[in-house]
Amino acid sequence: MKRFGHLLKTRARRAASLLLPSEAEERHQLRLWVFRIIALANLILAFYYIVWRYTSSLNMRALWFAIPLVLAETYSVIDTILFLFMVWKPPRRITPPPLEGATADVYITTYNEPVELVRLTAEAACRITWPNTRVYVLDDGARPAMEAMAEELGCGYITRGEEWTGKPRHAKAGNVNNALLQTSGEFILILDADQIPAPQIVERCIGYFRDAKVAFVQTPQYFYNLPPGDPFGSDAPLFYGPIQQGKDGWNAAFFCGSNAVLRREALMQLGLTGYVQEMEQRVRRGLSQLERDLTRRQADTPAQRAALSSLRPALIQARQALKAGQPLEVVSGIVREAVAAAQQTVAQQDMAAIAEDLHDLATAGDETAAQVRQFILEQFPDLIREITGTVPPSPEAVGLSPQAVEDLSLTRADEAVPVMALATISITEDMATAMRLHAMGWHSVFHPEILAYGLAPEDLGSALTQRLRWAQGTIQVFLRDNPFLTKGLSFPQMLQYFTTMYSYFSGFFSLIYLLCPIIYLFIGTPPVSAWSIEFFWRLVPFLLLNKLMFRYVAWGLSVWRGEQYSLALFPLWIQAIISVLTGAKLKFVVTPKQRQTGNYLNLVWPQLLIVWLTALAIVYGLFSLVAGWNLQVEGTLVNIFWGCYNIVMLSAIVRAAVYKPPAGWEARPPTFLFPTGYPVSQSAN
Amino acid sequence: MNLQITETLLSKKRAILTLNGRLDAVTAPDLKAQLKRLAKDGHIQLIVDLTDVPFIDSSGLAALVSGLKAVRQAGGTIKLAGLSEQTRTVFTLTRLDRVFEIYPDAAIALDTLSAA
Repeated sequence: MKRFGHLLKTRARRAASLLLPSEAEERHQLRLWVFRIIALANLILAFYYIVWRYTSSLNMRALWFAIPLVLAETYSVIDTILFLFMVWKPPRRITPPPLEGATADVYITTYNEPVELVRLTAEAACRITWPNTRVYVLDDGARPAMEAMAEELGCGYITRGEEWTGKPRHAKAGNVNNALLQTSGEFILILDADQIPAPQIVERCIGYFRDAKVAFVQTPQYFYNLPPGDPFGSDAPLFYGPIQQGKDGWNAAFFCGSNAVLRREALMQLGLTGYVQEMEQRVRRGLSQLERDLTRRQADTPAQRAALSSLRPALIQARQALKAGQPLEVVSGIVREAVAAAQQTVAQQDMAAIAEDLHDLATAGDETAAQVRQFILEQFPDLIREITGTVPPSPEAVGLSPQAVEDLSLTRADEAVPVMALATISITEDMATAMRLHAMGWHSVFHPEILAYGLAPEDLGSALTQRLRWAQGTIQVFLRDNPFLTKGLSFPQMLQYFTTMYSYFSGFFSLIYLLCPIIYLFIGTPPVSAWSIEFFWRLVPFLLLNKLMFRYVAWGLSVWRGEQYSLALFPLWIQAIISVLTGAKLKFVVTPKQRQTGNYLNLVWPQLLIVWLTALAIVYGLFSLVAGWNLQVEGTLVNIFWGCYNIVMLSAIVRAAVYKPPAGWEARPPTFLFPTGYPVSQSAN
Repeated sequence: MNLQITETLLSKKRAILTLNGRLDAVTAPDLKAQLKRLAKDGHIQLIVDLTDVPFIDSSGLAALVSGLKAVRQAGGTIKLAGLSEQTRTVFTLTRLDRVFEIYPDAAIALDTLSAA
């Protein structure tokens, strides 16, 4: 009962969040303008501070210390500017009347989650009120028990077919792409295995698709199993509230992989466009390779030499056709014909050589050789045709790279299904998919109403794994699909993607902030020229207004835990960037849905080390003040305060490492999702 | 898909070449060179075992014929053994099955050499 009290409190708190769809227009406008005034004031103070830091307060005698700090501060100021821009004009979304007659498929994606967990989601999905809805369990684990459960509930059950054997599976994106080719609903609600939908989820989202340009509608993620106080910082009310609303204002709401309704047509178009682009890339790559083959390869035999030189004009012609924008099929046809002709040339040369040798054998007295030579010469053209017909084409035979010829064949033999709707370049497929949709001119919507209830990781190890995956995936997208190089995105859209990617670089700068008070308290060298009155005058109003602005944007949402974690996770952010930059192999890790037992202090040793060093530095600083060695009283006090702040910020994750939920505490999804009671086997658990 | 050529020397004159892989434009030059070298060294009673050659093209044929010429000039012969379906088709098509002596397997080919 106590837990439900907590739940109700959270829901009440959520209701107060900025700009719910129901909020009155005047109120929306008022809040927005107040925010903009605070934001502008904040911006002015930020410049007032940072310009002064560069021009007149660097400690020139300790640049090794001054420069890292001022860089970190610059990072923070840019971060603030990007944030302000992001939340500058959130739209006021009013649930539109539903799109009558639309058909919807519900995809529940699972890989290794227990059947009983998926059952909760599937049962609730079957209660979705939209009339033309069909529920499918997409089981990448292909488990018989899962199939039986789906059948029992009357859901469709989809697994990978034969065509995937030996081909890259592309994790969740591959799972969804596979299902897209087997179902037919116009709209697709994607749910992670643990995301229990509310009955009205489709009804609320589907009306947005009246606008034929809308590709997807994302709703928040809400966790029903957060232990009291959210020790692992899983709750993301700021993201699934003001941040997504802000991005939505720039037509750049993020698709988060679950709890979203997508338009099939948009996904298919994305898949086809991707397919065509891929094919074009392959044709270009194949042509370049063949051109290199021609210039670099040493022909082994006269036959090959003749074949290769017969290819040259064809490649020039193919290049021109590609430049002139001719269909890829034409370009590929030119090359394929030329390769076939080259093979004929080889065969002609070979048969001519054979005839010559037979002539020599005949001269030496072999009568049969003479007859066969006669036959070969008489039937020459037919023989060449037949022999090249019998022999499967072998690019190596004419001295060409097989990969190049394969590229030009316009097949996609290395993939299981040729059309990949969901992007597969990254371990967080959702962000890359949304970005490509936006680049193609599709619109997106963030509908800020909780319509699905899922599970957050229940131990620090799982929570960290999940965060690391998101961070790595985002940086991967940044490197491979850089928003600033993506054609079709508007500048604000580019900035929205960049803002999220930028925020993952904070780890390095957080480390600087954490080390500063330690270094100062131990060695007494300040990173600034003086702890003067002017310094405080410029810094304190900026910091205070900055905090105020974040609180105002959050409007009653609890963001403290999130703030603690964004600083405390600095080793994780650093690890994510380094692992992606060094090209370490990344794996799609399914976030564990059950609490893993154990003590996680080993995972937070960097934070523990910083806490210990800071505590030591504070004691040393106080001691030196009392002992009278130190005359920089202001500096020491400021840094003691700063150190204490850092310890408080890091304390959450250290406590989370040894966290155990209160005795008897158990999470259950909200009762209204299960009007007839929880599934029987669940309570037997 | 390289071609492996295993050379078994039976006597001063006799040798068996066991081929494994595709005999095509890429691999034919190797076989051609090897046949010429064997002929030069006096190994002129040769058996080429094609049991494990799933595929032969015109370049492969040319290599065998040029090898035959070299061996014949030194007074010897090449016998083929164990043709796969595809190789047999190509030999029949070009009527080279009449130029070469072809046997079901290397053991039988060897017997005919001994009988001669």
